[in-house]
Amino acid sequence: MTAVHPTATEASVGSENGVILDVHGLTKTFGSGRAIVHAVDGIDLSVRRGELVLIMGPSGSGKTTLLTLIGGLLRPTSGTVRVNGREITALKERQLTKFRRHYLGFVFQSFNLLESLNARENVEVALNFAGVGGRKARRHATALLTDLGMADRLRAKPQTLSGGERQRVSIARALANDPQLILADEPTANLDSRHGHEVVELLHDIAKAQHRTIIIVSHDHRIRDVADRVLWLQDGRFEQFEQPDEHQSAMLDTAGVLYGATPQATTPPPTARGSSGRRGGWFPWRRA
Amino acid sequence: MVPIARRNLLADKVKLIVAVGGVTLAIVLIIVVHSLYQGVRRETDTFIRNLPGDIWIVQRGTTDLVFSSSSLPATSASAVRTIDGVRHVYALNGRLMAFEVGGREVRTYVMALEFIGGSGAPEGTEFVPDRGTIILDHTFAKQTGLSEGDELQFGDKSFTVADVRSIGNVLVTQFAFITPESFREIFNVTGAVNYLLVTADEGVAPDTLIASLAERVPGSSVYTTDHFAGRASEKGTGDFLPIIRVILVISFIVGLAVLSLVIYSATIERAREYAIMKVIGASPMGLYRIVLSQSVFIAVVGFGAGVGLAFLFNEVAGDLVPQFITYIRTQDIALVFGITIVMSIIASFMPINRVARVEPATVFRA
Repeated sequence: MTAVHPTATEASVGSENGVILDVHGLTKTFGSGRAIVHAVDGIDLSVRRGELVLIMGPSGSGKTTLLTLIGGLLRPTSGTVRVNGREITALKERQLTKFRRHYLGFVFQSFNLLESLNARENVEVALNFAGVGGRKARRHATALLTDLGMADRLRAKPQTLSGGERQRVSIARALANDPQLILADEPTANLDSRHGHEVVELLHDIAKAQHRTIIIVSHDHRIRDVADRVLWLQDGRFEQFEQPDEHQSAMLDTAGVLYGATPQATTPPPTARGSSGRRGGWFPWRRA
Repeated sequence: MVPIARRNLLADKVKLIVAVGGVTLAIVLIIVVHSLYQGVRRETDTFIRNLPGDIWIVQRGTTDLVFSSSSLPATSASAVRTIDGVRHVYALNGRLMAFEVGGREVRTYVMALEFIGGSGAPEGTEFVPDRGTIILDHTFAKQTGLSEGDELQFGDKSFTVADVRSIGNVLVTQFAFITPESFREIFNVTGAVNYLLVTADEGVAPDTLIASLAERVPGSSVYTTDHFAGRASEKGTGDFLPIIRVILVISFIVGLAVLSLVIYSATIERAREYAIMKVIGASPMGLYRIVLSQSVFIAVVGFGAGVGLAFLFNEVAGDLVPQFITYIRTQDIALVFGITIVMSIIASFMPINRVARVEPATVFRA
């Protein structure tokens, strides 16, 4: 496994109680009238610095919508999202762009690299957008990719890279501007077992060594092994399994078969906000 | 900075070639048509300036040498001579003539320059050949295959080619010179001349003679050579202008259409990449810059290729079709460059609008 070095920025930036992400009453609906769909339905969530949170759930449960709302890529119908104490739902488009550039990193299922650029340029371009150019950007991009074991693939075009290599470039790009929060959407879905495992390990190392917060939306049970918390999303809400009843146990079993996810009910960690009462709230599932 | 625009373009070379080719074609058309227009203008202008005389006296209403006629009383030549400040007076006559060369008919505009009088040696002797000979424009000679020593037949009169050189080529015809005596014999124009050319005494500004010359020759218009050359070249090519404008507009539309289509389709194809760039922090202005850069890059490369090809085309066309005279001026190249940039800016409007509407959240779809 490649080494992931802690960054200076991480040590200096702080927020209240180490909470980096604070989501309150987040709702997103699509359509109207009888056709209304509650993709995200009154979510509350609090995540601390350096935490690796895994959000699981069946297809159509609202996982990706939640991720796009947290990433400021979609405007919520109601509720708030605070990243590092700043309410991003109140920001204008231009401010959001600037915010995303410096505070958020994204890792995608389909890697989303720019096909006409090589590996290093794909990382460099994120730095360019943040106003870092020339040799400085090139050096930084090279260092990031070298750290992720891509030193000999700097000039390779995405189409010549393996899935695992592409995802490494994507992760390097997400880290380029030293973000505090990384949002990963199914980062292992397009990878084989070996590469998937490597990516999981890599994300874990980044979270722990660099104290970055990582939220992963995935069906991949392997990620449960490295996640600090596993949240189960169903119909746009986090499901509570303090004492799973027969029906819930059956659902968990099904989920385990389908997705390899078998969450366990635990008490929330000190930073996790409790249930809002109105919607039943959420409880993290910490692996045993 | 990573040159995203250039990399995107170079990633699809076929599309790039099509786009550059379209712009190049438009630029070639614009430059060639415009240079043809300028070529004719310059030839007319140069021909008038090369003849002796600081002042031209023409019949009122005459605009140029080929497309309008002028006739003045022959006696006005001697009347003009007596004016103070006049140094030389020349009579210039001209007609479109059809000669027979080797059994076929060829047409050229034949002129005769005659020194009427004045102090000192006359100028413009290079336009006055020996009796029974003719001086031909090189374009006409090339077109007809005539060279020095060849014979041209006009009725029962025969002319030997005394010299072939650059005299004047105005696309529809070329100028040639014979002696005044031959001209009179052929056309029997004893009582009239077409134009009077006047040279001013040293130290006398030609402008100051205009009023007195006009008074001395009733029914005439008097111009300085500069003025008449400008007027004649403008009027002589004026009829082409609407046609040239139509061709220029068509060329512009062709270039714009090709450029717009290519930039638009390139943007649509990479819509997801624009969404990715939005997600990773590209500002809307940054994305517009990428689209505009692509458009400008194609336009500038097309412009460069177009200018080069236009020069080449003019050279080859001039060799194949001798009367195809062109003149490319620096300011025209600058103007076409401006048109190219305008073309690229307009072509990027639609793609920019498309990029503005790209939803960044779409990148989460696998």
